[in-house]
Amino acid sequence: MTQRSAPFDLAAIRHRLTQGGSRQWSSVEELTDDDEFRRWVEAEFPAAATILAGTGRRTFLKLMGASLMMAGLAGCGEGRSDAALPYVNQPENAPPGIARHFATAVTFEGYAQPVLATVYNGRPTKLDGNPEHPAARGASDAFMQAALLQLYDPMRSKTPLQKGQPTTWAAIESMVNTARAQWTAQGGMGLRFVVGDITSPTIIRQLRTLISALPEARIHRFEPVGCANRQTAMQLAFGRVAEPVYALEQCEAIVSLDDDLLGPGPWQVWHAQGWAKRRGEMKPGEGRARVHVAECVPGLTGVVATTRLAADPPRITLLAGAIAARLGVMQGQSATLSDAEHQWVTRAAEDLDAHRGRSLFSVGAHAPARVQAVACAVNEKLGNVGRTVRYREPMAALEGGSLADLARDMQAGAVTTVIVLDCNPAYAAPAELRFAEALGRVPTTLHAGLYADETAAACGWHVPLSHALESWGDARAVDGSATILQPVIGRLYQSRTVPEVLAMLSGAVGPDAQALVRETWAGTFGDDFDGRWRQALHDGIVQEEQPAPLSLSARVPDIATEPAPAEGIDIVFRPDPCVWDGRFSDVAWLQELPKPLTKITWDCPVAISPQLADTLKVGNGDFVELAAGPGKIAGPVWVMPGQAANTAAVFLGYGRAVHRNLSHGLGYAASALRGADDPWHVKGTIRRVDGHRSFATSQLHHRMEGFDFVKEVTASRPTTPPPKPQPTLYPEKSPEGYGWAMSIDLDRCIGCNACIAACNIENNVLVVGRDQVAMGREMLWLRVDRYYSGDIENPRSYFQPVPCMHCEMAPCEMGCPVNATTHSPEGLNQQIYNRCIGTRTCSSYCPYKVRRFNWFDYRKIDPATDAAHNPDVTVRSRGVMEKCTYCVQRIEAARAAADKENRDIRPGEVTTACQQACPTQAISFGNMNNGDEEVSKRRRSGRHYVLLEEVGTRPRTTYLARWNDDPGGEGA
Amino acid sequence: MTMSEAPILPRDQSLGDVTDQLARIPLHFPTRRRWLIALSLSMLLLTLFAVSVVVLFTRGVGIWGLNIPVNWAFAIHNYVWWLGIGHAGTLISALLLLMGREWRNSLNRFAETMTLFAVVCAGIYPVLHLGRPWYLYWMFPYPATMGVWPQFRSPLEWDIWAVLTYLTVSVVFWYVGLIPDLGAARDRARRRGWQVFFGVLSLGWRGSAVHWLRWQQAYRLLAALAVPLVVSVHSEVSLLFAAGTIPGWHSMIFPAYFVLGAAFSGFAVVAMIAIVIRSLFALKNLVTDDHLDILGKVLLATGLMTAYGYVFEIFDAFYSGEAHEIQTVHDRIAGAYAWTYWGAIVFNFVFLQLLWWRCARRSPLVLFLVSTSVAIGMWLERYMILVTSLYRDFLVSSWGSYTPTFWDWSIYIGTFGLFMVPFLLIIRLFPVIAISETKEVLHEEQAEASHG
Amino acid sequence: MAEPRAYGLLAEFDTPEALLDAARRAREDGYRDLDAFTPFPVHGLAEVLDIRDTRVLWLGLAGGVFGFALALLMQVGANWSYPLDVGGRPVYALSAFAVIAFELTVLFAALFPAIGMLALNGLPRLNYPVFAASHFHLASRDRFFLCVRAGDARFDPEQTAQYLGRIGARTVELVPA
Repeated sequence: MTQRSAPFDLAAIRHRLTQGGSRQWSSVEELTDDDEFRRWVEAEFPAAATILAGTGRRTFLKLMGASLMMAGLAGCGEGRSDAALPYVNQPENAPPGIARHFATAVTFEGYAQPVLATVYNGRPTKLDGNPEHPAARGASDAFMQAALLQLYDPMRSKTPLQKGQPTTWAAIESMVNTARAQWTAQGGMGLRFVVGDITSPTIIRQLRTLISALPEARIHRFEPVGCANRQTAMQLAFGRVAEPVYALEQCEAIVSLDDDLLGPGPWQVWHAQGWAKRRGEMKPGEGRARVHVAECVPGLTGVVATTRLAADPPRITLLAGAIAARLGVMQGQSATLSDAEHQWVTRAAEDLDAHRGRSLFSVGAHAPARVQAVACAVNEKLGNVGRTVRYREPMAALEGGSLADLARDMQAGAVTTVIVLDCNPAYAAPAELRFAEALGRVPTTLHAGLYADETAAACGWHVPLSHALESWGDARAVDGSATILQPVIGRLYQSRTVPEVLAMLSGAVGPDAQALVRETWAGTFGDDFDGRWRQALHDGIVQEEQPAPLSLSARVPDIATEPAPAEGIDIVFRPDPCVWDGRFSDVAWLQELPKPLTKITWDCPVAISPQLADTLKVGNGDFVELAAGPGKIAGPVWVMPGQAANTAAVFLGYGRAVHRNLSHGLGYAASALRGADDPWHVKGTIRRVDGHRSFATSQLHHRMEGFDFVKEVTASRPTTPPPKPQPTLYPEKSPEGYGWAMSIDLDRCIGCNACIAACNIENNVLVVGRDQVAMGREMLWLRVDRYYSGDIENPRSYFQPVPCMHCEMAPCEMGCPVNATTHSPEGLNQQIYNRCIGTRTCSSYCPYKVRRFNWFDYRKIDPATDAAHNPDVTVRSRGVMEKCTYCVQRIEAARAAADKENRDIRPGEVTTACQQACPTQAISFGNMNNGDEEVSKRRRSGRHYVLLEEVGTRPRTTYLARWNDDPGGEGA
Repeated sequence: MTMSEAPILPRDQSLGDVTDQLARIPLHFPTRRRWLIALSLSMLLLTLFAVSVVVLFTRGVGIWGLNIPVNWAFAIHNYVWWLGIGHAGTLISALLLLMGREWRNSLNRFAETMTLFAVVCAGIYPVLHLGRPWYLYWMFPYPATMGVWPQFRSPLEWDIWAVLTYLTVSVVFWYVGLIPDLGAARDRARRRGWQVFFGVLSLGWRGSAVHWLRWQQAYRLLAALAVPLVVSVHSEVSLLFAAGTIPGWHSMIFPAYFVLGAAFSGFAVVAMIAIVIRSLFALKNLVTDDHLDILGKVLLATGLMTAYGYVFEIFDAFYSGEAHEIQTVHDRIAGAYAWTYWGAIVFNFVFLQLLWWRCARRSPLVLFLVSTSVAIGMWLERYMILVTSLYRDFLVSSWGSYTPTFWDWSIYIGTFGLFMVPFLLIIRLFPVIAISETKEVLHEEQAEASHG
Repeated sequence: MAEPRAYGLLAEFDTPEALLDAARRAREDGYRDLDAFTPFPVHGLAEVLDIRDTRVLWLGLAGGVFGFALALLMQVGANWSYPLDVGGRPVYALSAFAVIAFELTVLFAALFPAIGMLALNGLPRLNYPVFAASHFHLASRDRFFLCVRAGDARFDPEQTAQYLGRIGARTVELVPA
C-alpha cells in the first residue's frame, strides 16, 4: 500500500495545478486579490456565526459550511492553494483517482507524529502511522487521525489580523521592520517569545540565532500539559534536565503512581506498543506483564492494571515513599497506610523487587517533582536504568523562562514586544497570572497560530500559521528520530509556517519554507545532500546516529512521609482525552468522539468520586461549583466509578471564549482554578449549585447486568467454555475461497479510540452534532463498549470494541425487503446504500445494534470533512442504513492488485482501518479459511469466544477473552 | 351463542318500512348539522395529517423520536393497531355470515366500511415510516435495471402483499354486498342526481332470481375467503416481530396473540361505532340492545383470550429460562415503560370485567366506555410490545430510550382524520345498514312467527 | 318462431310464498322461460325455476390455483434470476414463500368469482326492459315479481296474462322489448 513518490513529483503536480487552477479561478482571483473583498469574506462569516451561536449545534455546524466556501475563495489569492481544487489539466504522472502516499509528520505538543498521508488528486484524505517509523510502526492515535480534519477545519485562521480586523502580510511585514529596528537598537531588550514545546531543529536553530543576535531577548516556554514538572524533577534527581524514555516491552512489572502510561498524549502509541508486545509474550508463558496502578483519576492504564488502587493525590506521595522504603531506597518510612494501600504497596514492591532490571517504577509527569525524583532513584536501585528506562537530552531542547516570569515582567512594564508562537496562553495560562490582561500592557504583541484564538484576540497582531500538512518543516518523534515535514497539499489560506514567520522577524524577505529546513539539515547531510534529503522525505525519517543515553545517578530527595493536614478536597487537572488542552476543540469530529471512560461527547464534566457524589447528593449532570483561592468554576458532575474518594477532576480544553468558533459555549475553563507553581493539583472546596446539563453520551448503561459479554480467563482456568453446537436448518457454508473474519483481543484493548478515529475517517462517517448524539443517533460504525463490574468505589473496567459481527446467519439480511443487505460469498454482510429504502428492519433485528441510520441528511452538517472524504467510500444520504463493511474498499483494492499479478491475496495484505490504527494490535483481520493466518490462529485459541453465541448468528467477528492475572485479588 | 333462535329484530315492522327507513338515510339525510360538525372536525385532523406528512417527507424520519436501538416505534405500532381494528369488521361480516348469525346484518355494512379505512390508515404507515419513501416501489417485483428483485423472505415484504390483498378483498366484499342495496336506493331516489348516482353504482341490479343465485355464491365465497385472510394477515404482522431475534419478540405465541388482540380491539371499535350510529340515525329498531348485548359478550370473550396471551408470554419467558427474555419481562413490568404494560392490563382487562353483567352489556354508555378503554388498552399494548423489546435488547451497551416527539403524535392523531372523513362520507352517501339482508332476516323471523 | 314484440309479462305478488307458489304452478303448466325479481334472495326460488349454475364457485377455485401458481413462480423466479445469500437462508425458501403464496391465492380466489358473478349476470347493464314496468321499482322494496318471457313457447300476451291473474298475481303488466 505504500507506493511512494519523491517530493519533486508533488512540486510538479502543484505547478500544473497552479496553471490550471489560475485559469479556472481567474475571475475570483481578481476579487480575492482585493482587500475589500477579503474583509467582506472575513466580516461576513463571524457575524453570521455570532447570531447563530445560540442556536442548535446542527444549524451552527451547518452554517460553518459557509465559511469553508468563503475560505476556498479567499484561499485562491495564493496560486498554490488551488491544489485543493480538482484538476483542470491532468499532470501525466498523477493519474486521478489513484491514491499516492507521502511520508511526513504532524506535530502534537511539539513531538512529531510520523504519518503516511494518503493523497487523492492533491487532496489528503487519510493519515496513518508511518509503518517504517519506530515511533509509529503503522499505528496511530485519535489526534493523529484528526489532524487531517483540522487541516480542513473551516474555523482555522485565514488571514492576518490587526486588532481583529483583516489585514495583509505586507502590513505585518512593515510593522515587523519598524519593530526590528528598535529591537536591534536595544539588543532585544523587552523582546519576548512565548513558545510551546518545540522539537523542530529548524525552529530551534532560528530562535537561537535570533537570541544570539539580540542577546537581551528572552524565550518563555508554556505547554499547558507538557512535562515542565518532570524537568523540575530531573533537576532535583540529577541536577540537570533529562527526558526519561520507557521501554515497556521489557517490563514484567510496572508500578505506576498516577502515571497514565497508556493514556492519551504524545507517548501513547509508543507506550501502548511496548506494553502490548510484553503482554503478547506473556500469554504463551514468557514471563509476566503485571501492571500495578495507584491513581486518583481513572485512566486507561488503570483499566488494564493487574491491581488498581484509587488514591488521592496526597496519598500518592506516601505510596511512593512506602515503596521506596520497602526497596531500601529510603530509610525508615513510617507512613500511615490503610490496609488496602498497605496490601497494594506490598504487592507492587514485591513485584518490582522480583523483576529487577525487568521492571519500571513510574510516577506521573504532573505529580510533585520530589515524588518523581524518588522514582528515578528507585529505578536506579532496581537496575532498570538502561534496560526499561533510559535518559536523554529533552527533545524540546529550547531553554527558556516560565510564563510566570513573563507575566511578572509584563505587569512591571519591562516588556515592549511579545511574540507568541503557536500556543494559546491567554486561554490556557493559570488565571492567577492574569496573562491576557498583562498582555494588554505590552505595546507590540504578535500571535502566530492555527486559529484566531483567545491569544490572537488579546494581541495587536495575528498571523495564521500553516497546518503541518501544508508545511515544510521538521520535528522529532518521541523516540528521538527526526522527520522532515513535507507539504501534501497546497496552502488553503494565506498562512505561513513558523520558520517563515521567524525568518520574517529576522528580516528575511519572502523566505522559502523549504530552503529554511534544508539549511538546518545541510550540516547533517553533508556532501550527498540531495540524495539523503530525498531519502529522508521518502522514508519519513532522517537516518542519523542517535546520541548515547545519558548516564546519570539520582539523588534521593526527602518527601513527606506523613499525610499533610487535609482540609477541603483535592482538585486535580487532566487534559481532555479528545480535545487535549483545547488545541483540538474546534474539530467537530473530535468533539463527537466519545471519551474513552465516560463516553461523553461534546462536553466536559467535573469528574467526582462516588463518595463525593454521595455526600453532595448529586448525580450525573448536576452542577457543582469548585473553588480554590480566588478561582471558581461551575460545571456538571460526572460520577466516576473508581475515582479517589476525596478527588474532583477538572478537564482542560473547554470553556473556549472565541465566539465564532464551534467550541464556544461548551464546558468550563479549567485555567480559572489552576495555580502557576502547581498547575496540576490544588486544595479547594466543592458545593452543589443550581443547574443541570444532561450529557450526550454514546453509551447510557455501564454495568454488565450479570451477562458475560466480556469473558475473562485466568491461569487456573485458561480457556473459555467450549462453544455449544448451534443446530441450524439452513445449509452449511463451505469453507472455500476467502472467508473474511476479524478477531479482537480484549486483553490488548486499551480503549484508546484510535480504531474509531481511523474508521470514521476511512469510511466517511459523518458528524451529527450534540443533540443528535443525545438522542442516540451517533454514527460510529465501530464503538468501544465500556463495562464495569464489582463495587463502584474501585470497579474492574472492561473495554470491548464492537464493529459489525458479519454474522453468517444474519438476522438483518433476512429482514430487508429489498435485498439492500445481503451476504457476500466471502462472508461479508454487505450494505448496499443505493438500494436501501430505510425500513430499518435490519437494525431492529440486529442483536448487536451495530447499524447506524441517517435520520436526516447529515451530509449537510459538517462540511469541514467534505474535502477529507475517502473517494472509495460512498457518502451516505438521508434515509439510508449504514454500518461496518470490514473496509470492503480495501479488500477490493487488494483483490485488484492481486488480480493484476494473477495471484491470491496474500495473508496480511488486507488491513482494516481499525486494525491498522490499533497501537496494540488488538484487532486482527484476514482469511479464516487459511489456517496459517493470524485470525485463524486466534479462532483456534483457547481464549476465543463468540459474542451472544446463544443467538445463533454465527458471527465472523469474534473475541479473545481478557486475561485476568489477578483473580480474586482486589483488582478482580 | 344461540342468538339466531330468539328474534333479533322487532317483528312489527314491514319490509317496506325498513327499506324506506334505510334508503332514506342517504336520500333525506336526517342529521345534517351533527354530521357537518363531525366532518369539519375530521377535516381539521386530516389537515394536521397532511401537514405532518409534508414535514416528514421534506425533513426525514429524524423528526420522530426514533434512534438506535429504538428505530421502530409509533409508525409500526400504530400500523398494527389500526390493522387490528380493521379485522373486526371482516370477522363480524364474514365469519358470522358463514355461521348464519343474522344479528350481524345490522352491523356488517358499517363494520366493513370501518375495515376499509382502518386498513387505509394502517397501510399508509409503513410508507411514512420509510427512510426513502419515494423508493417504495422497490418492494414490488418489477424488472429493475440492475435486475434486483424484492427479498421475499422478509416479513416486511410479506406485509405489503398481505395488506394490499386484504384491502382489495375488503373493498370487493364490501361492494358486492352493497350492490343490491344500491339498487334499492336507486328505486327510492326521486331526484335525478341521486338516481344517476345510485343507478350507475348499482350497475343496473334488478334482483333477478338467477342474479341472486350467483350473487349469493360469490358473496359467501368471499366471506369464506375473508376469514382465513384476516387470520393470515395479522399472524403475518406478528411475524414482523417474531421473525427477529429480539427478546420479547422472538416468540411462538405471537401469531395467535396478535390475531386475538386484533379482534378484541376491532370489536371494541365496532361497538363504539354501532352505538354512535344507532343514536345518530335513530336506528334503535335495527341495531337493538340485543346487538349490543352480543357485542359485549364477544368483546368479553376475545378480551379473556387476549389475557391468556399475556399470561403465557410471561410464562414462556421464565419457562425458557433465557436470561435476555427474563430481562425483557422485568423491563416490561418494572422498567422505564412499565406504565405501558400496566396501562394495557388495566384498560384492556379491568374495566372489561363489567361486561359480565347483562345490564352493563345492554347499556350503550357503559359498553361505549368499556370499548373506548379497550381501544386505548390495545394501543398501549402495541406500544409496549414495540418499545420495551427494543429499548433494552441484548447488549447492555446499546440500551437506549424513546420519547415520542410532536410529529409522532401529530401523525397518529392525524390518521383519525384520515379514518373519519371518508367514513363520514360513506355513511352520508350509502345505506349504512344492509337493506336486503335485513329484510331477509325480518321476513324469515315473520315467517317463523306466523308458523307459530 | 317470429321475433317477439314484447319482452314478457310481469306478475306482481305480495309475498315470497305467493311468488314461489305461482312459479311452481307456472312450471307445472309448462311455462319454461321464467324469471323472478325479488328484493332479497328467496329461499327455494332457484329450485322452483330450475336454475342451476355453479360456475361462480369454479371460478373461485380457478382463481385460487392461478394466484398460488403466480406467487410461487414470482418468488422462485426472482431468486432464480438473481440468487443471493440472505442470512444463510436457502435460495428457494419455500417456507418463507408460503406467506405470499397464500395471500395471492386468496386475492385471486376472491377477484375471479366477484368479477365472474357480474360478467355472468351481464352486469353492468344500466337499462333493462323490466325497468319500464310501472311497479317494478317495488321489486327492490317489498314486492315479488314473476316474469314470463316472450321467448317462452306457450307465451301469448292475452292468455298468459289471464293465467297469471288466475294463479294469484296482484297485477300483471306487459313489458315491451
